[in-house]
Amino acid sequence: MAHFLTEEMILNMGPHHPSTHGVLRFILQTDGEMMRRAVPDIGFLHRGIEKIAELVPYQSFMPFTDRIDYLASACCNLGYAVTVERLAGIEIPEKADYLRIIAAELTRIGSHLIGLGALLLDLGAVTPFVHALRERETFNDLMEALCGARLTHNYVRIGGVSHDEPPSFREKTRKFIDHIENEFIDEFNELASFNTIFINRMVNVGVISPEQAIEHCLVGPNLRGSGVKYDVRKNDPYSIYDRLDFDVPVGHGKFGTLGDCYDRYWVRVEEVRESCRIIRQALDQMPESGAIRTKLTRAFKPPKGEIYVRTECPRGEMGFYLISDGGASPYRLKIRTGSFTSMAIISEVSQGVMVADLVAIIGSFDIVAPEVDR
Amino acid sequence: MTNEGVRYFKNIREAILTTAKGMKITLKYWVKEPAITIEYPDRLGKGRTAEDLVSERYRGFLKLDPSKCIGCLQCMRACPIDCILIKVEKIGEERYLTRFDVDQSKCMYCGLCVEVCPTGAITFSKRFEGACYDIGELCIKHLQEPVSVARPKAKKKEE
Ligand code: SF4
Ligand code: SF4
Repeated sequence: MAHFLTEEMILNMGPHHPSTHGVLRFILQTDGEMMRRAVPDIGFLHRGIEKIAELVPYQSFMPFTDRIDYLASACCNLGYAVTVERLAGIEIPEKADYLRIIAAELTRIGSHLIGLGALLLDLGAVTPFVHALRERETFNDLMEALCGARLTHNYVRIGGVSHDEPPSFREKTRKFIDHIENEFIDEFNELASFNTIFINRMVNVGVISPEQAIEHCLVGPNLRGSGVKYDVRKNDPYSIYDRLDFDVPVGHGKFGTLGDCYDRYWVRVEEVRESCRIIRQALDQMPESGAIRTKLTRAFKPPKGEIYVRTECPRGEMGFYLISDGGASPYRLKIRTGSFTSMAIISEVSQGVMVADLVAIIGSFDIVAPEVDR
Repeated sequence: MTNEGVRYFKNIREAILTTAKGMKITLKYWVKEPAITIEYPDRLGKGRTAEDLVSERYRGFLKLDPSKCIGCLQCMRACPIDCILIKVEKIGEERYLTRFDVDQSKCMYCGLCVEVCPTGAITFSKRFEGACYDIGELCIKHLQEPVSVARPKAKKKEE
């Protein structure tokens, strides 16, 4: 009888792998095509952002929050600003609140576009990614007109926002969300989401039950994909989300089991629609003119104290835990991110799947590597 | 034929149909839409430069108007990564700006320096093409020779 190799093989995936979305490394224990386990090895993109916070003044830390999650910088800006404002009890002008929400929700659309496109790209579908990027280009242009940068926006400030709306911003934004809502999503669905080959690769893969999701502290779309209706914007509203009317899409086993990769994907598609609804309402309610920024004192020092504030980023709950000792920079700032929590569950759901399915699983969590390490 | 065999051919049919659906959309864009990307930097269009591509508020390289700068050093302090270096020296009675360097290779174009400047001396330009062979070239020295510091009070009288 021929001699077969029967022991498991240890394989290395990453740190530079096309489907690991940045510098991420997985150590795979494989048995032929089957996976025993995939253990993530994190820390390649650790930049010490939390330590930097202790060295720079409160206002000067804002550009660093861009780099926590570079695909959704306005959302991270917003989270940090809300944290400091709550600690110091700063009131912000009404118009600034609306501009922030519009920027954050536009960013959510932009981020989900990349997330959906990149997942498809990992599975071998190049065309939908290009379509998604084409739409993201409009979003980039809108943000560039609003604040001058295309990726790291640094738009929100402690006490308001940096710029007022540019001329014809409202019309352009309306046109963009109308296009996304009425044309783009339907076309994208026909092109990719309802493609039978794609569905077959996504359903019943990487199933996470609601209990398991809660046990592993999954957040954001990954949690909602398992059918748990929890969204910080609804359950613990910050800024002006309590004035806006929107739904929280949850997974319900659209084509397969509840909590599979397709459910997580589909929640994101639906979230793009909800974001469009939020932006439309915010544009309608936003005052025509008004102040956009509460001026802080030059050497801004919040009172002594500590606070934890959570906000909903495209990749789930982002929490800022801030301790102030009354000085000019934070005594300690801890940032909790959504991608980090989803890394923990990968080794569990990857047991017994095919190697090719691991790519679908990682992609469906929409991980951004800098957010994992910070 | 067995059930297995029927399913096999059904799957093939399904795969072809679903791919054709996607191809229809691709074809639509191929035939109807004009090109969405432009060839950069060779075909920007007549008389257009790269700077026309970006919006009014674009945060490009920093530029300085030395006649407005009062040497308050606020921009230098606001910068989170210390890429601005300013030196103010007293020569005789007058205060002179002797050095104003901005290291654009470190700058992250956050805009904090522009925001704190009380006189609007430091602003963003639309220039973004910074590729060069030596990283030292990106450390831009805005002053070739000492410039006397602008006095905001004297300026107000003029106006
Ligand atoms: S834009 Fe930001 S990083 Fe660049 S010089 Fe100004 S403060 Fe420093
Ligand atoms: S550029 Fe503006 S902020 Fe900087 S030293 Fe001159 S006046 Fe002050």
